[in-house]
Amino acid sequence: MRTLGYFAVWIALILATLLQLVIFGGVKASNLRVISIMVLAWLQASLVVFFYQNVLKEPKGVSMLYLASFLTGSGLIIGMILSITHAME
Amino acid sequence: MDSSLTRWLFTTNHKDIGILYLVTSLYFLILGGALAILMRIQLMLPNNQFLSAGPFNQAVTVHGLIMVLWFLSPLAFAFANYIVPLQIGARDLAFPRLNAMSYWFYLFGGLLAAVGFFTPGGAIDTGWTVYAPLNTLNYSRQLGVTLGGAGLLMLIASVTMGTVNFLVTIFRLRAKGMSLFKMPMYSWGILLTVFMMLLAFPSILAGVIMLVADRLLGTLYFLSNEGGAILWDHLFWFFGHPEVYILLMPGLMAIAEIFPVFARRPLYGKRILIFAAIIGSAMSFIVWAHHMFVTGIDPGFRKFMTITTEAISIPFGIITLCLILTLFRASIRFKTPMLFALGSLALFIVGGITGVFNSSVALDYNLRGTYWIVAHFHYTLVGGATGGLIAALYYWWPKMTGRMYSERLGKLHFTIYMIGFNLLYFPMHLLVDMPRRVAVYSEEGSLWLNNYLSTIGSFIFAISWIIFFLILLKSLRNGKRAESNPWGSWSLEWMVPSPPPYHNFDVNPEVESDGTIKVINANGGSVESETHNVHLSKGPLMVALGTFLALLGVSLSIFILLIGSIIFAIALFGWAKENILGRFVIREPEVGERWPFSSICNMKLGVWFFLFGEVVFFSSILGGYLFIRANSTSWPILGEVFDLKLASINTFLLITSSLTAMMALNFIRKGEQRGLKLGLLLTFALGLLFLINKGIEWEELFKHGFTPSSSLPATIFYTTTGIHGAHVLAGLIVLLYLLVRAYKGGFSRENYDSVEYFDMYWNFVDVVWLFIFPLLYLI
Amino acid sequence: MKVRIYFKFKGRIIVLSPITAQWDWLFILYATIGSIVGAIVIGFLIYSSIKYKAKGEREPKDAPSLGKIPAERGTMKVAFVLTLIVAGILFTITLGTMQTVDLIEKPPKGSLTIEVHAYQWGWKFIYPNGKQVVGELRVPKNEVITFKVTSDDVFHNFGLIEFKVKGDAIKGKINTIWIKPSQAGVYTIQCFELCGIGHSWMKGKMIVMEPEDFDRWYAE
Ligand code: HEM
Ligand SMILES: [Cu+2]
Ligand SMILES: [Cu+2]
Repeated sequence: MRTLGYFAVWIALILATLLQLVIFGGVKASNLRVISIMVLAWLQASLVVFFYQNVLKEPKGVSMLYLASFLTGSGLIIGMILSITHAME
Repeated sequence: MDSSLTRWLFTTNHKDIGILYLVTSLYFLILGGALAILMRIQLMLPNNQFLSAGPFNQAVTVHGLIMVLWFLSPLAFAFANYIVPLQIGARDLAFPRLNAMSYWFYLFGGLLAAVGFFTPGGAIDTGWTVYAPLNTLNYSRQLGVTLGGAGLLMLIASVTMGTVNFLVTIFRLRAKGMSLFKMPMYSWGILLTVFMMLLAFPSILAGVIMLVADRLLGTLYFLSNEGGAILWDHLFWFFGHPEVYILLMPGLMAIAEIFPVFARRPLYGKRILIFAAIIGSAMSFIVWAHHMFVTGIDPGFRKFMTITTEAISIPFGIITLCLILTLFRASIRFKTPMLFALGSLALFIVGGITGVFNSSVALDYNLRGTYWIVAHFHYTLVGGATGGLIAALYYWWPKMTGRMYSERLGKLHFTIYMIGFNLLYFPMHLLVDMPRRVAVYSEEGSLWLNNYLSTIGSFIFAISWIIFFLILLKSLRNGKRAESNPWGSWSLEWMVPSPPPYHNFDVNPEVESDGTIKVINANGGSVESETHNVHLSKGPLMVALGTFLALLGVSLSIFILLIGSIIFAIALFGWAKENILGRFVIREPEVGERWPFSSICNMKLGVWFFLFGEVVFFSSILGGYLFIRANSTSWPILGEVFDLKLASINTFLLITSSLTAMMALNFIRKGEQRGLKLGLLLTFALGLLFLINKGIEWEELFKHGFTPSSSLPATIFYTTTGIHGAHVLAGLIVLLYLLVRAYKGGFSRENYDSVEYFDMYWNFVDVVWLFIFPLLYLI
Repeated sequence: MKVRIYFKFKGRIIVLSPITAQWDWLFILYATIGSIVGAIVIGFLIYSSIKYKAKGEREPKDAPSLGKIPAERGTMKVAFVLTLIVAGILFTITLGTMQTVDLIEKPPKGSLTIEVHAYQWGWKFIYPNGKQVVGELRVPKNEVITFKVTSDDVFHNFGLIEFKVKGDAIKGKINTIWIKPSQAGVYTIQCFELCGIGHSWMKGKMIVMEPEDFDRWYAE
């Protein structure tokens, strides 16, 4: 049962990468292309985190801290970008 | 336990390591203090010629680095090592060998940075903030800067190991009934400190790696306008601001530990105080840009950081007020620890108030870069943090050495300390017109008087430290024997003899629901004497030594690099052997308080914590990329310029290797050895192919002139994929060990944990690639 | 508001430039509140230390005793009040800050704009008409002067000590500060960011001239 699940995730991951490549080859450079490629990347990452790393089966504290470290990292990136884009004014 | 050299070199016991930290940090205090005195002598008079600008800049820089990273934090960790396990009722840290390694990395890192003094051009001289682009090869050619960077890398490694270790220890090794809120305040301080360390140090790690790459491989992170000063500022201060709370928290919580004992009343609002400390620690991650107020960052972003900065004073104000309210209606005994606790709280309040000045963008326009700032941070770091830890030292000294010190001399120390401190640092507030880090100032203006006073103060301050060291030596020689609880404290460390026996407790301590702590030896026999001899390990020292030589070699000569790598490899091999032979098993007590991590084991939790740090690390690396890209006017999409085939193949390889790794785990869960071996082998093969393929890709690109120093996209491409590749390589090395164990039949249906930890790591490396691939090639 | 402060201090200290007055006002505001708060808090600390000094060996009822987790003391209500007090003080001074920032960062119109290039180790100034000077800057009195600060190499900081403003000099970036000098004379320019061996001597002069003198010099 578990084995089947792992294979399903693997197929989804491969398909997502293929899709990324198709989009990359087929669509002209644009925001749409960037967004759809990145959405797929997020999807892949979540698949690995939830079904290979199985965070939800870990104690609550683990997934909370995973989230916290992730927010910390994102906070840094967002701050760095905001500081130069003059988007907040 | 004997006191031979081998004991100190190979020890893994938390109390021994605590003592090592204590001695080493005090040694660095003397070193940093001597440099400070040299600076003060130079600044005593206008146009003085005692130190020229070169040595002065080295003195400022090394003084700052040493005091912050090699003295203050390690002093806190001396007590963390010695006291925290006792306070929470543990027999040692969760990973004793890792703890020893953490110490050796700290020591060798310091030596590595100090070697710079003996190279041409001298030690690192860029200020402890190592601002870009002064830190690049273009403007600082000397080896000292590279060596400083290498020393920092070792220190960061040390901190990372320590962090994971303490987090697991505090979460998983508490005595039964010792809920988090029942923990003594110093343990709370360390818990918050290591949390901040875990999430803050990765960003400076990323910064230092970029810097070392710039200096050794010719990448362009800090030389380019698109990265440059602001990129370093972000990476440095995202670490740097939490760092000041990392420095402060142990001292502040030591005060919170000491006040109730000598005031003979419980801490006022313990829960409130803890809550405020948690909020303050969390907020320390969203104020970093107050160090960049006048660099010309976006005004809206800056306004946000101003508000958060002002707001962060609220929790710290509450902590201070709770501490003071503790004294209300108390019955205070003025022993030396209490005097230092009181004194350092008062000095911290002064530093806190001047800090509010700095948080004002408007005032900062003038205060920035002046001696006012120097006054501010010395009041907080020396007055507050160091003073609190000196109080802690007097407080725990009898416990650690078994000897009392002279109370009379202690009071003398305190008096001279306070006079010297204020004479040394108060006048600096008045030097708003004097830039910091200048070696010389002119006669004009009225700078000389306050400088003169400050230098006189520094002599008095130095005398107080000499008295301090004499007190300690005298106590060691002929101090009165200390009882187990000389101060009338309540917590667990005082329930065992001074100094505590090697294994701390003969039986597992327990906290009952009414708050009574029990360490009663039920059957009178001593426990677990068989574990005594497993406490020595050569691995930690050797791994650190190997790393030291390898890094020294990278900067100096291939030959040393080679020797270092060999020692490193042998040491790792020995370590793995210790594991396979099962020589270093640490039994976890069956019962204990482990909320919120009760259902997983120590090692797994440790791996998780490590990965959380890695999340921030890769965010910083990728953040650097996105920052530079947002700052660039044009950016090639690499997938359109180059052949995408190799990179796409690599993505498939890595995804598939995650599957095979999961399959290996799945097989051994069912006890199928063949499947396990096959899965591990396949994973190894796929990982190896990934690296080979990467090599081919790099070679191809090199041929086309796409070298690390050729352009910013190339800089980022090689660094990012290189760091990721290093993670793959590390994974392969672990895999090798797992394979050997698997072929020796070392895994079974019940015992497959290492495979699981490896999978967690490997999947993480996979996730990182799943972001790198589109970010670098496709968009 | 701005004007009132301007006049308030006019009698007592020389107002070199609008920003100096505003800055002094803000600093005094912070210093007053800071000193009062500091005096109260540290005063209370010392007062309690003296007042509650132990007399004899008698112990309070809830004194810590070995092997017993101390009782809870203090209430949420107190914490709430403390938070309000601290936040209130901060709010007041933040208002002052916001106001001053606006003044510092919005240079008035019709100004003379001078490019400032910091380099290891000195200052180069470029005027709108292309005139370049090194080390010694000349500006007219009573006029708004805007500096566009940048660096040719490492991180420096353009500090006008008497005028209480500074601008970071960063390669590839331009930061703006402004002054409106009301007194002729010679003032100090100094670098406030460690920039290498020559940092201590990275100084310059700013000479504020009568407008007529300046015009003559500028036309040369
Ligand atoms: C005990 C803990 C101390 C800590 C944590 C500490 C920390 C620092 C730091 C971080 C810096 C900034 C270095 C830089 O600008 O790159 C610094 C600078 C300095 N410190 Fe200390 N310090 C300590 C003790 C002392 C003592 C005892 C003295 C005097 C005897 C002293 C005198 C100075 C001086 C003169 C500077 C140079 C300031 C400048 O030019 O910017 N420090 N210290
Ligand atoms: Cu800060
Ligand atoms: Cu400079």
